Amino acid sequence: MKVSTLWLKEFVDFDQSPEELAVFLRNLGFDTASITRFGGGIENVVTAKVETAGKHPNANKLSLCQVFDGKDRWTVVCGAPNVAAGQTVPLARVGAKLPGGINIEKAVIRGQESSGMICSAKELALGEDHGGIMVLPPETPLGEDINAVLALGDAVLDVEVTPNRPDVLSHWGVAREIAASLNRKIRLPNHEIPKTTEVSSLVEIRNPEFCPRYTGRTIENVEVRSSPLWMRLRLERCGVRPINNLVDITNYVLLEMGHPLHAFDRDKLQEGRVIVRLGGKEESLLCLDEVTRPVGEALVIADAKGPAAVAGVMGGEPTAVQESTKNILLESACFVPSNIRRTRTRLNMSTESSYRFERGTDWTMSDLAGRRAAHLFLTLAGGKLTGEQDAKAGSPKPVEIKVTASRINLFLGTELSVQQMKEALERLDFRCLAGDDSLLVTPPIHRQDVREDADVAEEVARLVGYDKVPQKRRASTQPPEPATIERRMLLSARQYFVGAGFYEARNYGLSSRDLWGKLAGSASAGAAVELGNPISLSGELLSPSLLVNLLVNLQGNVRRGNKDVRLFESARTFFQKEGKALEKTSLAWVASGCANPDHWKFKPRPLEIWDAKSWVKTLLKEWRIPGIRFVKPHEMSFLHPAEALHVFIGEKNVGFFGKIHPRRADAFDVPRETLLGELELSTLAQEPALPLKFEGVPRQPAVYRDFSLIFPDTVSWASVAHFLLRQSPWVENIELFDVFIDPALPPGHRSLAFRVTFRHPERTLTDAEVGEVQEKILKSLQTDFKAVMRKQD
Amino acid sequence: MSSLTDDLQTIQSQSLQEVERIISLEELETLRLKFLGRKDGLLTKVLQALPTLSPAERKDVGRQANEVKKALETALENRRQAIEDAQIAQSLAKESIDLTLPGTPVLRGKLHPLTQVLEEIVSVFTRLGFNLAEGPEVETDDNNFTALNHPPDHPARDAHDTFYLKDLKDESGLPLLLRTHTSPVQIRYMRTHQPPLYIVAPGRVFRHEAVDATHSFVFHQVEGLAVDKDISMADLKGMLTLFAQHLFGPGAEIRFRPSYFPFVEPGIEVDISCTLCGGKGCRVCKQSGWLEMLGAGLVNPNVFRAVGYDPRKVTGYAFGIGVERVAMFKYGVDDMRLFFDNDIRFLQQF
Repeated sequence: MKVSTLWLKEFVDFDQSPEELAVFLRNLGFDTASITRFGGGIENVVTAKVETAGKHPNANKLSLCQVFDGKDRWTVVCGAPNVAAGQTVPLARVGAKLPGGINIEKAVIRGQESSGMICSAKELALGEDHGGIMVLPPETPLGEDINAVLALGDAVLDVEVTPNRPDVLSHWGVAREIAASLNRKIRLPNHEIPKTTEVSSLVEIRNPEFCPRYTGRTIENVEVRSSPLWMRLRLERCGVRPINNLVDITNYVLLEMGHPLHAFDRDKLQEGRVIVRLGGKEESLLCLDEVTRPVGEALVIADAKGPAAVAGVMGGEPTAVQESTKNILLESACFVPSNIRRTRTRLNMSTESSYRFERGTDWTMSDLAGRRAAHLFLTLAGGKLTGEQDAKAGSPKPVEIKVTASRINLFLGTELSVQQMKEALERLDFRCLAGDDSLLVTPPIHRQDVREDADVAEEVARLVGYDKVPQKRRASTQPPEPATIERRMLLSARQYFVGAGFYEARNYGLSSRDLWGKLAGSASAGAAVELGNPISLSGELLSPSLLVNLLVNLQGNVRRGNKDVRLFESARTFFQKEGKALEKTSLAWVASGCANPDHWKFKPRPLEIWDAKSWVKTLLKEWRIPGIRFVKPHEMSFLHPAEALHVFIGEKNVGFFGKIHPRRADAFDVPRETLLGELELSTLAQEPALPLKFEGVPRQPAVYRDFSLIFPDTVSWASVAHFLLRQSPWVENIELFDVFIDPALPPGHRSLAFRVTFRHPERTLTDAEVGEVQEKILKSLQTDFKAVMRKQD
Repeated sequence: MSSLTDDLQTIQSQSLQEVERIISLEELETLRLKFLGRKDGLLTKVLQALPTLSPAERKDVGRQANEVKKALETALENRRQAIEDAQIAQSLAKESIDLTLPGTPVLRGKLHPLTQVLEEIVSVFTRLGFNLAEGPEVETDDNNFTALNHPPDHPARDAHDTFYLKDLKDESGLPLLLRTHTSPVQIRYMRTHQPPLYIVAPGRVFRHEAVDATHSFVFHQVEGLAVDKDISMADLKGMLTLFAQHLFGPGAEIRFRPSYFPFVEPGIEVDISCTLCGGKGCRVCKQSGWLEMLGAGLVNPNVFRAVGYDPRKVTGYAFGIGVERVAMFKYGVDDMRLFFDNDIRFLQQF
């Protein structure tokens, strides 16, 4: 909200510079976003009349003007195209000072003497308009100091007012805060109006639950003209375009007192009276912004014919004041905030008026602002106040808050006395009855936000200053809780992935239907959670899989020439099921490039499925979750049909890993060799992990035996390994060291070479003992697995 | 007997002299065989002759022979070491490698800078005894707003542009939403725990707004909440000073300014002194010497009522730290979008 310092000074005296004022306001809870200055450093510039404006004899684009400042006549050379006889203009006389250190001296321009300069707005530091000289209203008196005429030396602060303080949404409100802070008196603007007769038929409130007060005043025979310069300047500086005196006055009082008003052209109101009621389903209104809106169940100000304004939000075009308006009905009312908010949300329009009403307006200000506006109408538009009606349903009762000084000190950690608190609160117009420790506090009616002890504590702190709050050291008194299993798993996964060369990614968590379709196939889109109000189509879904964004990240990295990209992410994923949103914590990764980075001596090798398998296995081992099975994908998915595995615990599918399906790789424009995987961390965290238990370090020597056999392809390595482990309690480990596929072997066969480690926990095994087991194993492999010994070369 | 003794003396002097002249390991071995060879070694022969001597002579000569043998073996070993040393020195002198060539690269990733900052913030508080709490990203209107003293139709809701889920509703029929702050974790935690409680809740939050260098529709917060029987603004100030000094150095100071967040009362904005310029004013702090860092305040009594606590019996403070903001200041990152781009050239710098 924009506030002018000169305007503020009408209500409260202060000497602070705009910057100092901003600091004051900040300490009271109101930030200043910007400060704009208007003029300043101008001397000896006065209003003057251009009596004649002729052509300069020696220059085409210059004029030679005779200018009268009310006392003396001057000849001035002017270069502006818009200069004309009869204009009232700012004249910088000889000896004048202009912003930017410019001094005006007598000069000879193309052979003509010039005693001064007619100024443009830019030359007075009043904006960028340098297209011509500044033309003042014709009624401006001559010889006046331009600083006074144009209210120069003003500064406008853009103050941010929090939603709990609608009482500060005006010059009056800001002045009140300054006055409290500086402990100064505050002056009301002139709001005198003649006594008039009460007209009982002017206003009818049918829904007092939404409009507890409506004051109507009728003013007859007003004259529509442009507002005086001072008013137009103030409106403009606060961001409001001046229109005519009738419109400007209501806007002016809004900025001044913070209370929205509305002026109807009374002659256009059927029967010249208003009814405050709820709108009907079929009713609509052509609003001031020239849009016709169905008013629906909004509160409206209507006449006998139909709605004339959407209450507290916007007036209607048909009853608006115009050039031809003679008689007005001035509305000053109180509306219930939540109703205004619902209406303006539904109609999707926000105005200065609705902004204030939905935050709450001041009951007493309703009357004061109405009087102030009426006063201005009578002063600036002529006319006569002919009647008024103050319709209201009760009046708000002041709130009494019982609090103690010790309670406030408890909140703030301070040791303030009751007197200090009382003094602070009274500066804010709070009524205070103080006892030894007790305080009975009555906030003024405009402070609807102060309701209980904590609110009072805040007011004390604001006025006393938060720098008075000391620092105390208090540690937790809550017993420590252990970290959740999920978090512990996450921390170890992060450590693991970082060690394995992965960078951690963080994504927005949203993705598009299109990308999700690219990954999972369009059939899967139904299970995804959609946003009702996405910003764009690229974020219309809550990501059901982290891989969608990780693949996009990978693509971006590869496109920028980054090599060996490995990324992992842990975040939430979302699905919907039976009308519910299912949120899971997921852990996913993508990798492309080489297993080892390129080096001048050691050549890199590409990543393969075996790398992905080890990542998963190692991680699962780290988590000590038993009963994990790897299962070949049985359905067509985004995984490579041959080089990928699903991860199962019991019958539960908890993730997958492998090589991306070549078609999906193409769709995401990532290398076809890309490896990826995803695990449901939150599901895995539900599984009981094996306790970490020391198993001893073997003390007995091991015996190793190498085997090399030809197996049919149908025999999986896992089945062989599993079999071997069960052949003897001494079998400790099996290590596959060669897989050999060669045309020399029988078709459909491969050779597997592996080393078995035998160890007895308590003694050294003899060659003979191990030999026996070795024989048994060989026999079993030959009979059970149709394995054939390889011929020794 | 005397001849053997003489022989031994000859062997000793001859062998020791010869050892000194030897310069290669091969020659050394030849020499060793000449004197100590199993069959023909000169010394071996003397030893082999011992049994032919009388017991008295045997003892004398035997002792002498052993001394000669020992002396020779010592000399041989010393010589061998000397030759090897010379050889190693020679070969090392020949070796010359360009050690400026690059070493083998190690594949090692990094945690995301936001994770690093987030964990650092969390660790400050957990070390002071705060417990970690988490909550879902899809929230109910009640947890995200109403229970946090943002009643329906309250203008404070305007500060939270909200993403709503399509077709999915909570138990009261209101649309589910993406949490706009981590504060709903306060509600969830208080509804399931009794005071005293001291928690930090880190997490990802969502706002329906356009993305630019300093705004993002997704960002991270660390929420703090302490509820006890007599918690004050002074406790909050002490705690946040510790936080600021831990993250930005022992010289960091904090400043409270009144502000408004519906779930706290009094509500404050917390500035941290700009440690880049030492508070003198610089480009980063816009010449003010202070940086807006977080919002905080005392828990609003209405929030206690919403979770079933008695505001006459407990007080508390809450704060919300913007992780991106801290990270941007700490590392000098000038565009928030970089955090979510996941370009490894960015990620590897932290």
